[in-house]
Amino acid sequence: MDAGLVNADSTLGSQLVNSHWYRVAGLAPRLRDTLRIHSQYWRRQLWYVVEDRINARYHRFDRQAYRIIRLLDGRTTLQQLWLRLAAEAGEHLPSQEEILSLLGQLHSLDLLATDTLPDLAELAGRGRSQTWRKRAASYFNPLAIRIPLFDPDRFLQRAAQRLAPVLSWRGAAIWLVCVLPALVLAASHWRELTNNFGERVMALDNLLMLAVLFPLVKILHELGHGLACKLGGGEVHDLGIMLLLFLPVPYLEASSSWTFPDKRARMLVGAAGMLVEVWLAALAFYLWFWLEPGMAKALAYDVTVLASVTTVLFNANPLLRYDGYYIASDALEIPNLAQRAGRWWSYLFERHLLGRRYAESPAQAPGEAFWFTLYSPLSFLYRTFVMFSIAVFVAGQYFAVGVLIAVWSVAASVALPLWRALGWLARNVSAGGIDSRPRRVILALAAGLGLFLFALPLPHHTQVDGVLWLPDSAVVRAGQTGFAERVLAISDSDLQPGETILELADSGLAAELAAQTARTEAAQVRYDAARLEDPAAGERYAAELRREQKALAHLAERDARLAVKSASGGRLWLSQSEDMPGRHFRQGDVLGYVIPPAPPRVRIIVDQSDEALIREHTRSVRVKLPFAVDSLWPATILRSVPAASNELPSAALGRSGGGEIATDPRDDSGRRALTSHFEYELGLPDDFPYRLIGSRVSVRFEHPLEPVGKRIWRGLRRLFLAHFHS
Amino acid sequence: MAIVNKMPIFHGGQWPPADVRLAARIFPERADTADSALDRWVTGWWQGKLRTWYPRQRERIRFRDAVATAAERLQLERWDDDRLRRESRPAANAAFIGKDFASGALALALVREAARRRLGLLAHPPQLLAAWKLLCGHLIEFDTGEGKTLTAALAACLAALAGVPAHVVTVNDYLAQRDAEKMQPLFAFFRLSVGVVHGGVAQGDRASQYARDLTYCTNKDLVFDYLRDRVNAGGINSPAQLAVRRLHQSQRGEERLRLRGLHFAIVDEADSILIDEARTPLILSALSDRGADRDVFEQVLAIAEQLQQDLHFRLLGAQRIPELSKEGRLYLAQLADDYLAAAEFDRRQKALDEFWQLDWVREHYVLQALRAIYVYRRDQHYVVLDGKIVIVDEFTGRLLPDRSWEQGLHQLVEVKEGCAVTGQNRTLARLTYQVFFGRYLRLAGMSGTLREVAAEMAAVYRVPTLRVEPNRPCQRIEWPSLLLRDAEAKHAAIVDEVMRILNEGRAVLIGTRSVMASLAISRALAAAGIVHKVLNALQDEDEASLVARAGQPGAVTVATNMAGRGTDIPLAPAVSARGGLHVVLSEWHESARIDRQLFGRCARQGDPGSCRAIVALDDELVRHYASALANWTALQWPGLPPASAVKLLRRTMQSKAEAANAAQRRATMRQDRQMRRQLAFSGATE
Repeated sequence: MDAGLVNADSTLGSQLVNSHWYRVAGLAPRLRDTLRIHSQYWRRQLWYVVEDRINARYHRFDRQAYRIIRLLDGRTTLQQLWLRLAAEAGEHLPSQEEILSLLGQLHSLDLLATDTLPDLAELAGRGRSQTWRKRAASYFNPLAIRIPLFDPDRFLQRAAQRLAPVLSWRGAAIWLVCVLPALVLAASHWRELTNNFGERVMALDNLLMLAVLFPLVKILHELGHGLACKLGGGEVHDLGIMLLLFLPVPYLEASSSWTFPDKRARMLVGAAGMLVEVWLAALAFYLWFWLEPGMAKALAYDVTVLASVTTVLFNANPLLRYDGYYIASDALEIPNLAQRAGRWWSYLFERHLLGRRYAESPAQAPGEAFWFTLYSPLSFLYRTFVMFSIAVFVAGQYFAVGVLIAVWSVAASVALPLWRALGWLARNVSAGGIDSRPRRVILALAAGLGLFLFALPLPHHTQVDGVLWLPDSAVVRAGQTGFAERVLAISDSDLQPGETILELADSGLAAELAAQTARTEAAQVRYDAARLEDPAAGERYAAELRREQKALAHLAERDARLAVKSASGGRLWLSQSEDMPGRHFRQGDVLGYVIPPAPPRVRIIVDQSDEALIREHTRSVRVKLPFAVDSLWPATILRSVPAASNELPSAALGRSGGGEIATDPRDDSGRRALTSHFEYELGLPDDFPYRLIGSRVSVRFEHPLEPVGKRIWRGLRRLFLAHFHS
Repeated sequence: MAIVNKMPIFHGGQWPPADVRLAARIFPERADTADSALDRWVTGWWQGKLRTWYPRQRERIRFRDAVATAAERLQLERWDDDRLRRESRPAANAAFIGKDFASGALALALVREAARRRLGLLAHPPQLLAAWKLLCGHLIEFDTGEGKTLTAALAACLAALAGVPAHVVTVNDYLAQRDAEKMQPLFAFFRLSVGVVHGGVAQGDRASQYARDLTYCTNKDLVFDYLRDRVNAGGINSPAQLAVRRLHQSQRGEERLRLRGLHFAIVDEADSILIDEARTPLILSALSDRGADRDVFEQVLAIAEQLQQDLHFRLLGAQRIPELSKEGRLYLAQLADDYLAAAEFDRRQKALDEFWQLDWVREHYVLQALRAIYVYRRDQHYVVLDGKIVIVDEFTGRLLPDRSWEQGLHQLVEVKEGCAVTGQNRTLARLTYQVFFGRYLRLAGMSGTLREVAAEMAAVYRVPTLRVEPNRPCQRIEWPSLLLRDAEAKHAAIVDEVMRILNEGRAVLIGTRSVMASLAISRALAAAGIVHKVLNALQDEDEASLVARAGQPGAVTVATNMAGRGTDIPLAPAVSARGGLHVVLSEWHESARIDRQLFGRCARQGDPGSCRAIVALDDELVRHYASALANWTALQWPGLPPASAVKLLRRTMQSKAEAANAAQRRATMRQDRQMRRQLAFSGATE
């Protein structure tokens, strides 16, 4: 052999040429025999679906990849193949690396056959790592531990034949007839349906029921897919169980629909499961509607909820990778939407930030870029949001499980992609040499993020609810039950303290008073007479007299209270001054207010966790009225109660009064909070408008500027501390 | 070629060891591991950082005592040669294969006795401990001048006695030849045959050299011989398959396999082979059929010279990778159109047509031409010898006469220098050192400078590193470094220093990083009228004798940093009495390790000696890796900067350079793994 030696330099060679090419240049691989290739148009671009008939797997390739794949005939060596591609005028020339990576991909998908003996050690290693990766993927993705059960193809075939008369426009009509009235009815019974939803659904016995019902509902869903797939001429060979949050859920492999040339047929397959479920939900809703309360009604309720809520929340949503996603991908005619959207973003990053002008856009057809730009962040946010909502919802009922789900979902939807992205960035940093642009950009971004999180001070505030509050002396109450007789003061006039506002009349009281006066006088007479005659007997009458006098004094006091007086000076506001005369008031009824010249105060209650921040780090306080959102009023802290208490100053702050704070449902007043709070009293400026005393206001405490990272850290710490301490 | 299966039957254990997973290949070697980056990182930390420097004084003393007692108890001096030979085989077997401590002590006592008789060298305890640790598969940090040659020979001898083919891997041809010859009497004593493989050994002889009991070889020849075997095997994965093929094809013109498997290697200068050279993969290639077309390359070079920097192309990063701009590509397309229009009816020159017609070919070759013009420099990256381009090894400063660059670059450089254009090479196989040495069933090594790379060694090669303390304390004195403003001042300072040392009647060795630097210093010395010798890539024939004479009084030697590495510089008694050899480091290297290697040239084996770094702020590496800090230092201290500033600058520069090199090694390895995975369909080729 005439061999020379080459000094290799890993920086050598342009993008097109790969230094490992020699290993494959002489190989002539071909596609395996059992493959069938279907072509489809997506946005007027050709795509190819490779059907692997042995494994019943389907792989989609774009035209560029297919240009290479079509040349894999077992006779053309890769070197020839590359030269032929290079000679094709006006076409993009794939780099050797791209070809190698495509071939590697084909090999790992078991689509490739070569005449050489493959690297057995690598094959075994790949087998192991694939199994591991699959398992890891299924652990990190709670939706993917699959256990195949049986081949439903023949069953579905027969079912499709039997149901042929219904699987047409007639079926659609029946579906509409069932579902539309249910929708209307559901809207009118919305309160009944949704009242106390969380507790009803998450009660332990109900959870068990749901666990039983869920697979049953989903089996119908999957059969829906299967039928639609058969209807379009596809094959369905795999029905089984996958574990979703440890809950067994049936799945059905209907990816042969990928080969359907008509996108509507593909969309129907995607939608069929949901159609079945919505229909089922409608039927169950009717049952729930007609049934008397009991076990059966609860069951019907559960089926309704399962078949409608889960469908709308998960399946229908294109932002999660369920049915809705595939429907959307077909409808938009963007194959592999999610992966390519991800690639689009990394392309944007590489091209614009790292300045790699060779970076290749994954967008191939006009309009795709728009959807890519939109899809990735939306789906990321939504996925995170759904995961967190589920976690919070569950944590409300079962804390440990909720936290577990939260940790799991954070790991799967945030940490794992973040880890991958970091790895990618790290490779970029280390690949480019000491002062390459990628390195600089990434380090700058990291520094920027670090500065933003931990150095850049940002406005920071805490918002709490408060209630506008007046001293008791400002409230004008009926001191005694009676009919209004005369209104002495007019509304909106200024009063002095002690001025009479209103006179009440109580004929019963008047009569009683008269009778008692007579009785007292009689007792007086009796006493006077007796004293003169016999001082000893006089003593006996004296006791009687005192008793009668006391009763009279009591009545007189009640009578005096009929005159309603202002306890403090200020401006009078009477609620219904015109039609007051003749009306009956009970003792304690609020008739109006004498509003003092000083402004009202705001009483707020502050959660223990916010207390320290408010007490120690408040720059200013602003009050906002619910009916005048635009204007902010400055306030000052006048008083704080140094001890925590469960008592709310007003029911308006509690949840039963429409506020934010959870109150004890056993307490009728609605003023007993479940957790203890600190109370503060705030003073308002003099020009504060005086209306709606007792109304809720929102109070905003402005804290010193603080970086976001510190706040997140504190919030997290508090979240866990709060839970373990209470 | 029957050697492949000729493995002796062992009594004291099994070889290859049962716990090693063998690769499915023609001869015994370890299967490549597919461990993750995390695995490597953890191993690196555990074995390389936490375990390495754990004090093992007890073990050291125990081993020394065990050897001494074995020697005394058995009264080895009184044994005749036959008895020594007879007893040593089973002991070596148990020591090497079973890693048995007592047998190890006994075996080493026996071999030491043999070495004493035949070589007249009595191995001292550190050497014995090091040899024992080598047998067990460790890397040993052993101060320079501690007698590594003998240590390696002891270990290799025992492995060979155990019947395991041993490779002693050295960095250059001279060392392989010298060490083998020097130790020949020892091996002869045990009737062990010694093979030597280096650049000067003909391909046809190599199989017989490797077939000997133990083989001294250079790292590059070893890897390329392995690659040739792999290419010859052509997809054959087991000896059985090989036999079947022989049967069918009746040996027509087939080449013999050279190696017998990767059993046991002792790598001398382990850090430079396993770390420094592991940055770039080794590529075996054959001259391609397509004849060299000078016209094409000339035209490409002419076009590349027309292109304007920053308009048509840019040079990116520290490595100055050229990249065409949009304007540049348009300009090329324009030129191509013009050419094709003019040459419409003249289709004789097929190569030229291909160049002009295909965009990627055109741009690829223009980029290579830009590299040839702007990146690769004469006397730094290559030299011109006898009308040929000879590549200079970036690390050792040595000439690599049979190497060439890939993908047209070599031809373009040849045209640039007006040399005859050779044919292009076609890659046959490529391999990284990381993968190759990882395949040894047992790997051991030695160097004077390993502590910095212990973690990487453990992570990549899964070999722990140990330090063995020297027998005699080192008497080297390091004088404070001088950091000067520019090359001119540096040269003046070096001349001053040399004068001063010469006046004392001592000898000076000046280490440089490149051929160019050594020439510049040589000019400065000549201008000052100092008689000196230059030892660089341009004249490396009498390297060893030059180095050997560097210890004479008044000798001044300018050498690229690793020229004559491994050769002792014997001190003349007069020099030794006046303070020994003085080493001047004229430029900091990319890692402190290499600096220490250079300083290790003086004060060996308890000799006196001194060293000093005399460097400048405008040294190439300083400019590359720490230019901002260098500028700041220059501003802050217009005169001589204080020692702390000098240290800071050196640390910064070297840590950055080390990080960049480590990243490149990781990238090489990652790329290799990735490609191996991706190209699995192509079969288990290299």
